[in-house]
Amino acid sequence: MASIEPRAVVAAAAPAASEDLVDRVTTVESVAALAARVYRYRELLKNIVLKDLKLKYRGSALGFLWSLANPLLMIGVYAVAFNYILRVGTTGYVFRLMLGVLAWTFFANSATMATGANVDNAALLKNVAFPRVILPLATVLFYLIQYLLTVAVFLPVMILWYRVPLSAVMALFIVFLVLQVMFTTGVSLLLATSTAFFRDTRHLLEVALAVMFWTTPILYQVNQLPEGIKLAIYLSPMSSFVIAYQRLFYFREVPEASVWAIALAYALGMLVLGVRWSLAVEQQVMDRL
Amino acid sequence: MTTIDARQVSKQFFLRHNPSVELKVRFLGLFHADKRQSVEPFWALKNVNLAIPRGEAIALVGRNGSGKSTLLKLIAGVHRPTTGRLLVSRNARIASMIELGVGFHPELSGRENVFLNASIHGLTRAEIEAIYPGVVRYSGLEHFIDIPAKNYSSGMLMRLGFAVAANLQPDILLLDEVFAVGDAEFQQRCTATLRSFVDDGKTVVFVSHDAWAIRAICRRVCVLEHGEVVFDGNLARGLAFYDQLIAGRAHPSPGTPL
Repeated sequence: MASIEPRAVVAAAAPAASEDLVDRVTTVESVAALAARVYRYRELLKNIVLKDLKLKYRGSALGFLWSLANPLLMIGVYAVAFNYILRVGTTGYVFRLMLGVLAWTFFANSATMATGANVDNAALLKNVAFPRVILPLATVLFYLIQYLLTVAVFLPVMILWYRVPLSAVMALFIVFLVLQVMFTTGVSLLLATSTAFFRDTRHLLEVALAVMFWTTPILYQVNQLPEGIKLAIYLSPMSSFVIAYQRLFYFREVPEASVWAIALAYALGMLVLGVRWSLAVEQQVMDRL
Repeated sequence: MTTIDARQVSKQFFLRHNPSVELKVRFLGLFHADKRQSVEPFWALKNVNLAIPRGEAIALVGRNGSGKSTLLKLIAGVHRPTTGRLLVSRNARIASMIELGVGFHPELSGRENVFLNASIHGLTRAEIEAIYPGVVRYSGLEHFIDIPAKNYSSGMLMRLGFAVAANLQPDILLLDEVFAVGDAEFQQRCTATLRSFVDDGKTVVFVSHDAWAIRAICRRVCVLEHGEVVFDGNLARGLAFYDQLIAGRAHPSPGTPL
């Protein structure tokens, strides 16, 4: 007869039986707690990135070699376009251009794909409770790996081609790379959750990226511009990173303090904003998927 | 010892009748009342109290839309209760198999999918490598483990999914209507596994419409109707109650065992 008795009443009557019970879903309050959760799921992060890399090349004859061939082909196309068609006279223009283009591509691809990180994986998110930030993080990591592979081919080729003397300042690349990854991660976290509220995020992002591309000194240099708009160009979100890469590799000099300050501000600002926002709206996002 | 404890749990979703979340529609809605999307609050669960002791297998039954899957997702930690609290044992490892094929990528091989799927549940590389041979053996898919999952039948996907979930060594296993596509032999193996789980003190929460599977695994049945628990008690009476409910003869009332 006991099993017919209402269980809730039985459980309520059992004293202290519930002492080790905790809320199933708890709010992750601190960035450190979030980092610990992500670290616990590092195998998932790795597997998602590996899956995307495998699927990208599976079935193609050259496979992984495309990642290495691509920058070389791009160099060829830009060299013909700017040296023979547009006849840009600047020495090493393609080198300077590519430094910006590749860094830009890393950012723009991450941001674009991150808009779908939650909404395109709704079924998975609604089935298993893993840390929700894993998916946008995997997007950034995927494009970071591609970026690094590309740079690993492009930089040596350019340095040999233009006989660029190696310089110690080039080692600062790693610092600005980390800052750009922080910035890109923050933006991607914001976009992944925003799309759950406004599906238009994707379309707005396209416009925003177009504006950002032309306000970032990739095709031109800041000192070619009229005084009045220089400040606006410096403050465009991707400018400080692109300027830094050009300073380090093309001009072989340490970027001025203002470039450091702007890069640092964008990196920290966007990362904190992205993490805070995604934690704050996590449950609302789940209910809207 | 209670391992899952739902205390006055309610879950509200918002049904958006104008499905558009475009900014244009929102903008128009500022000026035209008829262009505003109507948002209807919907209570998927209402004041659910359910305490599940460790080592029990409980079946959640009810009609479509009665709140079974929502309750399962709250236990899985996917959603959070709107009001009330859903408590589980600290450090309990929870494995869920809620929708068939979710967490599997069609282009990846069976082997790659096992590694992906197990890591979704939070396992480390070493842990996955340790359970991998057992997963393959249990699934009986040795000859198909290196072909892409897109070439699997739904029965094979279910085998692989269940093999992973069973080998995760969870303390709490959540299953949603997963046996329908398996063949009789594999269904029997699944039920035997689940019974041995329960004997080992593990907890199983099982959503199903299949009275045979419920009888084979569970001794307790919880019937949900419109998001409320209308029956919670032993297997035979629970199934009888549910039969009456769908036949339209049961009237949940204060007299009903609750």
